[in-house]
Amino acid sequence: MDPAEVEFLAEKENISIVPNFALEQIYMIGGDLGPFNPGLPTSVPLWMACSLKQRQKCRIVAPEWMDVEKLSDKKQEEVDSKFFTPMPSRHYLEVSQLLLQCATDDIPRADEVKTLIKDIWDVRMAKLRSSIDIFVKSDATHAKLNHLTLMEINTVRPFLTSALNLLHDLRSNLTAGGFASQD
Amino acid sequence: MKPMRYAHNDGHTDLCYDDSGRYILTCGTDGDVRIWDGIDDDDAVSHRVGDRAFAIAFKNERFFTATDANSVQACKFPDGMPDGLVTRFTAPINHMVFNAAGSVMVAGSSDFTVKVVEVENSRHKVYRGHKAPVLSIALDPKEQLVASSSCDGTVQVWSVDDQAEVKTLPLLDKCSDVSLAKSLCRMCWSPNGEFVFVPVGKGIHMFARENWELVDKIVHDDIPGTINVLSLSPDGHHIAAGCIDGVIAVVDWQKRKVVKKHRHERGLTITSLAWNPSNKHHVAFCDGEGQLGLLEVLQASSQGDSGEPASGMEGVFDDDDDMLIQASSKVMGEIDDDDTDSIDLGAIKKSMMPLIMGDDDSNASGSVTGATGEETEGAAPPRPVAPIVVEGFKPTPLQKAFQSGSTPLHLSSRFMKWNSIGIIRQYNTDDESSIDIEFHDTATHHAMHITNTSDFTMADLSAHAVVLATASDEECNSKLTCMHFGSWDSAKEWSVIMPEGETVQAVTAGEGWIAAATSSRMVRIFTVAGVQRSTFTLPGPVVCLTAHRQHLMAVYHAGMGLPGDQNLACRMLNVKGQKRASEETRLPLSPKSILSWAGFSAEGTPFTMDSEGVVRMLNTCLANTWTQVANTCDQVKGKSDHYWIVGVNENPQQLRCIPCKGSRYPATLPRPAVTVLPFCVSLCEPDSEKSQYEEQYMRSVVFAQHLSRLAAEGVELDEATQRNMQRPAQEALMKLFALSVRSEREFRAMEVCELMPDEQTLQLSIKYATRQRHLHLAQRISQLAQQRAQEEQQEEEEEEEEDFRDYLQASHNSTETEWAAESGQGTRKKAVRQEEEEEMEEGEEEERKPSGPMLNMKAKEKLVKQPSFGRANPFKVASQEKEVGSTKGTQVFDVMKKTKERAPVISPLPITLKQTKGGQRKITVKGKQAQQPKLAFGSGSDMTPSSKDTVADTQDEEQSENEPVKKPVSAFELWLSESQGDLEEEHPDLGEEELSRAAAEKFRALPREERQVWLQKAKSQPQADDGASDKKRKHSEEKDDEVPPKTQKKAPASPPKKPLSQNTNSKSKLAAFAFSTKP
Repeated sequence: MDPAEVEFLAEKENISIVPNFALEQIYMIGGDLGPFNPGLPTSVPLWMACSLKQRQKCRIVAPEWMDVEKLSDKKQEEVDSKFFTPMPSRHYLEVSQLLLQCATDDIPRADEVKTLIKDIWDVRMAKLRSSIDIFVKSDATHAKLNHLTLMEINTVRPFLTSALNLLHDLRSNLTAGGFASQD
Repeated sequence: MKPMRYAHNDGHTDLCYDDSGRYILTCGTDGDVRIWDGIDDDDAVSHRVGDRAFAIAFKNERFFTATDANSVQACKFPDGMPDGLVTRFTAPINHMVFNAAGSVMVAGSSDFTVKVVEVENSRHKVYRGHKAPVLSIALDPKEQLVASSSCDGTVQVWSVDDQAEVKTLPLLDKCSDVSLAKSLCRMCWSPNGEFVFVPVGKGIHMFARENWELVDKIVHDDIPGTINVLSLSPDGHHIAAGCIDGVIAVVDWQKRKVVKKHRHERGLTITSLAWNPSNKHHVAFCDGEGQLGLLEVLQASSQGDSGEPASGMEGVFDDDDDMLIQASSKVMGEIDDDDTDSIDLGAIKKSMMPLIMGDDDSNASGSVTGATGEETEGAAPPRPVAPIVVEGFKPTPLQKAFQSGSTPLHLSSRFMKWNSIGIIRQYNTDDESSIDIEFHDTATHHAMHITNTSDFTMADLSAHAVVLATASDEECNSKLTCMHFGSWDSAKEWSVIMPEGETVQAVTAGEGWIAAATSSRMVRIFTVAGVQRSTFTLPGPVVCLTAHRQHLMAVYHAGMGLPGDQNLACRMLNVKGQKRASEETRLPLSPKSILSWAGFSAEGTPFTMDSEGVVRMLNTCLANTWTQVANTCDQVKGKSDHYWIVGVNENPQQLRCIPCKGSRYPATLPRPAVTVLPFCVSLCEPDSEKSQYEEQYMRSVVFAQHLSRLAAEGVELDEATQRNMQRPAQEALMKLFALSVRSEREFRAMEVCELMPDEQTLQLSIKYATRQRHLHLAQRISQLAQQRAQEEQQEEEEEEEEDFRDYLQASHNSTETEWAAESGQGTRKKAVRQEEEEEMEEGEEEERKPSGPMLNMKAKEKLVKQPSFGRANPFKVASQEKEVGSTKGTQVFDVMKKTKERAPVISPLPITLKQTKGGQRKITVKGKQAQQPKLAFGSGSDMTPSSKDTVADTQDEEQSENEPVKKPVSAFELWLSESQGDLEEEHPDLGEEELSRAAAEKFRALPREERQVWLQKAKSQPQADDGASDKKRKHSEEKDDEVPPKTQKKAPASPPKKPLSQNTNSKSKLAAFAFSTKP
């Protein structure tokens, strides 16, 4: 899966918007949306929220976790913990990326949120890399990592799987013809 | 003892009372000073004094704070305006005290010095001698000596005048900093300066003034920890001691006795104590986590002294005082006019109690002790006897006029209005004074930003206009401005100046008109373009105005309320119609509360909310009373949270609110989010299943009442909405019925049945009761059904006679409704009648012109719809009622199936029409059929108790034989079965429907003799497939049924077309269900 696909999945996450138009309930394959009352928050998928926002048809209500205090707590927790901690949203990076792109004005202290999200991402990626490092070096056959989000898995998967394949090949070569390494 | 409440951040927190004892002032490490109007104040006023505040004191309408700026700052009370620096040190000030007059301040600092400062001119004397930070200070009442404790482990006594050290007492543990000190060692002097009390470890050491010798140590088991602070009560009898382990002990120092002991619930250090200067029974304290608490010494002290008769008297007077206070309502005089705060009787009582209490105590103890001759009198120093003030009756201050959905005026950015149309915000800062108007629906209008040069304070907003108003001041009169953005000409704005001496107090905007209530109690109504339409006078000062379409609701003071209560009345009137006189209704409020919101729902029903969070609606079902439909305070998370209401919808039932954390109204930034709260009629035992159904029923009935009102106003409602509104009520009734039956409450079940509006549900109830073996109940219900049917029949008969007159009357009525009167054309009525006559002659008219004929159409629809409300129309009753009932009823049981093992068997209605396509006529047939069993039932009304089993049995039979209803086969069917093949050959292109029609025609065309033959055959044959007979009946009815031309014409045009097919389906589905579960 490439990031675009993950983002596509993330766009199915629901988010609360305050529409500035009135519309009856609309019926979609994925479920019914609305009714839309001007001024009354309603929950819609992220893709729709972004599209409406771009057409200036709504205001987006930032998700509860997209808050500087909560995120800095989360970041601290992530830094303090040896393992991965559960994230407030399965698609925290994608959701915040999309929202910060299209609805900066609706998110209080958007800059700080952006930095914090980036920090959390970096911390987690560093953890992931180091654990892969340990995993590969220790010649283990399997490892278990909890609370990884889809996006995080997909950043390492293409490389890791092929790298492990290669390693496997090399190792099997090594055991098959022992003298090859001598050359 | 009330729970502690959050006051400041963690850390050292200091507090003091103001001189009146009403307010508590606290300061803490967050650098704020909070002014609490009693311990219960949810909305303490904060003043920022620095980054940290170490100590606070109050004297002469000023409060003094020691801050991290190493200075003592004076601020005015209560507005917190800085009022000069008193003195400055080179390190933080740890403690400061004032003399009784407030002219001299003594402060001790971490820079090892003590200063005595004259407050007025800041002249000071410095006392050097301590070798570590000074912990605390105590000034002797004679103002000659100062005691100071320090981290160097000593307590030093200084002479004020010659700055000399009088005595040094090495009592304490040494440490290097205040934060490391075991105890703050707050000391105090006895009332006459004879002794100084020093907290040393777990004991209070008393040193005599003359020789500085240790007179006594007060050590008690009730004081288990190191004492941190001491504070002498205002009457000088008691010392409150706060320990580092959270114990507060109140000690009678003369008797060396602990009269009250309180343990902090979390065992935190008591950092400060303050006696209420006007109430000797209250000690306020703060702990090391910045919490504020209040300790009442009263009960314990009387218990502690229970041996003395005086204490018994105390209790007696106590009660009297309570009553006295409540009765005299003296309390209310004290109330601040702050309109956002609710009236807190408790706090006020607290502050007022001591005045009266004090007198009584001294009198009582004086007289009683005199009689018993105890020695207490001698030991007690004479207390100043407060003059007895005789207070007359003071009325509750009247609530000020306000705009619904606005936040208080004093805020620099506030909401002037938040309603279902949009938001008006006002910014009122030094550099900006402007108004922002924003619409929820951008289709209404784009957002507007205007500079507020006229200083508008009131606003309202409708879909066509914004109305703004100013209060009058010295220079200019009150002004009303209307921005009519919906206007099609270019002049969008107009203003009008109020007459001299008249100021606008409330404004509102309706549909095509605006209204303003003024201080001279006038309500002035303008059209939206500025024509002065009418004025009227309110019977009292206005509280608020609100509008919906053409309705105006004015809330005003109807008189003086009971102590603490407001006496509000409201008047609803139709601004345009003016025909219907509306009576004045009293506006109920929760006890001691004020109105905080009033408005109309989107459907036009008046709603109010009071400051206790109770939402009420006008219940027209119950003689225009106000019914509580929600209590927003039940929904809040924290005690001091509130909901700020912005709108109400009845369909769907929504209470749109903004949750406000720790306040009553939201701030403009960050932008508050609206949430939707459910309604809940407050009933007893809200958690029981029964109450839940009852609540659902009541709520849906109350919330469905707007339907009839809207219908009366000529608003068209589609059938589906109406059904949706009524369905929950019926569902609730069915469930309630089932519940009552299951719990063997037959009479109750019967009562529930009496609430059921139609036969269909009754029939279902009979079935259910029968199934549950409640045969007696079933019989009674069937009697009820039968009675209803008879009544209905009677009505039908009457109706038939009066039909034509009714018809005219109906149209006549409709012209009298408001919307018709609105147009104000007298010729309208005539036109309507003419049109009708034309229609009757010409038959159905397809094309209608917009003006006259429109009205006509409505009039007719009203007539058609009537039965659904009044059950009166002879032609509609059967079909319409049935179908409504059946969908609802059966669906209810569909739901109930899930909960019960035994599903009830569904009605025996012969529904076999599924195969024929849906159409209007067919339903009429079905309706009749459906009615037949019931009527037959009714005719056999001589049911004796002995026959009750048969009743049930027949019904059971009916159920079980539901599908193949036994019916004689008609001649036509026989003929048809014979000649069907021929027919199909003849008309190969026709569908089933047309084919049968053709067949019918052909059968009719048969010669008479031949038909007779078939008839004979039919008689001889016992039964046949009833589907065919149905068809036949349908057709014969189609042909033969010579209903009056009017209805025949109208029936197809009437609305209930849609639901029919649905209805048939559900019925047949249920029929199938019944069939499959046949025993």
